[in-house]
Amino acid sequence: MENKLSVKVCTGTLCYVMGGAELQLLESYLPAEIAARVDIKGAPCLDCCNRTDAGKAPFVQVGDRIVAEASLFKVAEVIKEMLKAEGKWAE
Amino acid sequence: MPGKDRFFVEVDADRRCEKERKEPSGVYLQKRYGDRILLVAAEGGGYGIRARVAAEVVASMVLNYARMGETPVAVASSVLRTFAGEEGGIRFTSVDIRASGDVRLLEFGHPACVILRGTEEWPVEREKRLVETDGNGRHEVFLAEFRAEAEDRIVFTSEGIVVSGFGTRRLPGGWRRQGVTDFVRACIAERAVVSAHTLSRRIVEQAEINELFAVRKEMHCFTVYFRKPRRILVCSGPPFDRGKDRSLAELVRDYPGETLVCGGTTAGIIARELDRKVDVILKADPSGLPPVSRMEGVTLVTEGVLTLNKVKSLLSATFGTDVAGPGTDADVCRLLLSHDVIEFVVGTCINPLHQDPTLPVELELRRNLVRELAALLENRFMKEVRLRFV
Repeated sequence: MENKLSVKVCTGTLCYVMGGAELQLLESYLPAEIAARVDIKGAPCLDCCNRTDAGKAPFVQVGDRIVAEASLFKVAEVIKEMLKAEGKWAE
Repeated sequence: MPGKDRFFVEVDADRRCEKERKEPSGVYLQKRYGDRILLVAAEGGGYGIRARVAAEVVASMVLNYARMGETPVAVASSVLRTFAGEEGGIRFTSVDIRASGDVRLLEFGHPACVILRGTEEWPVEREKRLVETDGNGRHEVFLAEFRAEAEDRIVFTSEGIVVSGFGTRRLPGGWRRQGVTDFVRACIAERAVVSAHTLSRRIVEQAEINELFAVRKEMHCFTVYFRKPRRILVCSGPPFDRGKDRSLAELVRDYPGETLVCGGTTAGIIARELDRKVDVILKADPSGLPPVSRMEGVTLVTEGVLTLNKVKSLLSATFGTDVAGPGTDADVCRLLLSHDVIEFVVGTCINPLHQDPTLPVELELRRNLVRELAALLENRFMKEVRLRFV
């Protein structure tokens, strides 16, 4: 089975009120060929909001990378970038 | 308090107005004063606004005099003297319940309450006392005192219920008190743990059937159920001292009841300490709240402050024990209302970023929010609430 890219959407309070609510729709937003290569899960809290160096909420973790001020578009771009870097997807 | 864990006192009421009347002229009040619960049903005689106002005054007098420690005879005497000359239609029943299980009953004009131990009627002896009023009036009031035990019940029914069905082919003499008692016993035999809410509803529904759905006399019913408490632990917020993380997790693990965790960080702490997984169910919630999660050994895991705020709002707008509708807020309300003892353990560690005034919503301090929620559950829904900050 293909090793999928892990995507964790923070569903903590701060992330949610700062725009994270729409990130729940990430899977349906991604093109099918990309969605098939990622494993999207929710996280109760990624604990990034307690760190001053992590940037601003909402946060999404793509692989080992934290995406601050995440939006559907921004996360999709990071996913594409990381899939490309891993050689799992080409535009 | 020894009585606190011995049983929980569940109280609920139901009523029906006469056909084509929207508002009842009788009144039912219930109040909790610390470990004491006072219930009063009162009727002012006749119909309409005048009767309603009289009933309100009577109920309020009985409640407040009893609360101030007046003896039942003094309470009855004060009420009947106030309405001297017009006391013909006045009726009231009060039930004063202490945490120890001691119950004091005062009955005037209403059918005697049915007291049950298990499925059998418990013949609690009434003491008849005479109360004299200025207009040469002499009135009989009935007093009873007893100590309730777990699984006991008190059922109050107004005249309208006892006489329901009068003149019909099936019940030519009306349902009568014995009919009500037999019905209640059958309900308990059918389902031993039938709730006060269901029992009150069923009695009134049956009385309405007896009346062939055209109620001729207003019906009031309240039931008290002394039962083993159903407990739930609500944990919200990380402890102020990180050294207490472990004890919080152990509290959840060892709790003898259901558990609700409100807060992502709190869920994370418990999962870490107990080496469990938190699975977020990533789907949009109809209430607009963040998604809920699952964790082994925990009934429900939700987000914290936003969820509690919505739960408080929903409960503020709820006046029965039924909460309808989908959504996490309604689920949490139903979970809380289905328990008798609600223990909140609130972590007081504050995320400074939640206090940012530029945030698009007001994230109230968790401890204030839980205090308000606890007061609501205690005062309106008669729950026994324990609050602990860690």
